[in-house]
Amino acid sequence: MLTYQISGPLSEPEGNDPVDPFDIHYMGANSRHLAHELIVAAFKKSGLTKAEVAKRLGWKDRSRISKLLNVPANITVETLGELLFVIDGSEPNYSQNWPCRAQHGNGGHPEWLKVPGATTTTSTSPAKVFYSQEAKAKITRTSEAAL
Amino acid sequence: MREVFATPDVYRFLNGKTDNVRRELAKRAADSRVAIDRFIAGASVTVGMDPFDKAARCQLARNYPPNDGIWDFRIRDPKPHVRIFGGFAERDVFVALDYRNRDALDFDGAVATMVLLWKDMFDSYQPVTGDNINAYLSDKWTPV
Repeated sequence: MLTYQISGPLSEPEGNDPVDPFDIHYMGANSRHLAHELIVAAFKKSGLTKAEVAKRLGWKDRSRISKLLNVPANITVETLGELLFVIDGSEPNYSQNWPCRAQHGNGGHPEWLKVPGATTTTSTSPAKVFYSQEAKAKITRTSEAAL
Repeated sequence: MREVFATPDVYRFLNGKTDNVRRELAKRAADSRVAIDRFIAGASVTVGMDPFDKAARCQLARNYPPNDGIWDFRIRDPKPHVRIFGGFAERDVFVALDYRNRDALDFDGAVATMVLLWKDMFDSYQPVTGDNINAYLSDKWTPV
């Protein structure tokens, strides 16, 4: 099976052209996920219970904590700061990163995909999303119609 | 290290520039791609092994019948939700076969289609099955 590693999903904004809506939404969702992962990691490391975190925050409703820990919700920067501090006394560390410029090397292929002559390209995103050339011919349904 | 392989249709959706997907789908495509990217990056994932008893927050769920080895990524924001179906070719290797709008989704029909897609692509090579979650993911999973 011939496989390709495809370049990352984002394009560096430039000029006066509108940025593709996908790129804008991607970065928004990615920020939400990263903030959530930060909170969950701190919470797990702390050994605290949700009830204890709620108590530290002075929140009577424990379900609010559950909601924040369960899904990558669109929380405010203020809530992120408050939550991290009450969990372990930390604060978020803000810095800039340029995902379009980051270069990530190829990872290994599983054995069942290693074939002589397989071509790969360097990805510009953390993702390793591949597709099969053979599948392209076999799968004809247009997925967009399904949404 | 986790890897995701995608069919061209899924790939086009996950790489959802407006020349690949309709403009109104851009947000759902972006959220789907982020979910897959964070999965690949090794983020903790909530897993539902029981097709009929799992938490709403579950991010990766096994479908009925379990022996078919068909799973779906549950993209629950924004609405309408998206489901990205596929199977595990081996531990930490997910093959994304197709995607669907959750609204009015016929899961039985979708799973049957995914089984055919898998067979079409991999012939006798079967997806991972069984009730041991460690056969699917090596780490950073939470059963829900």
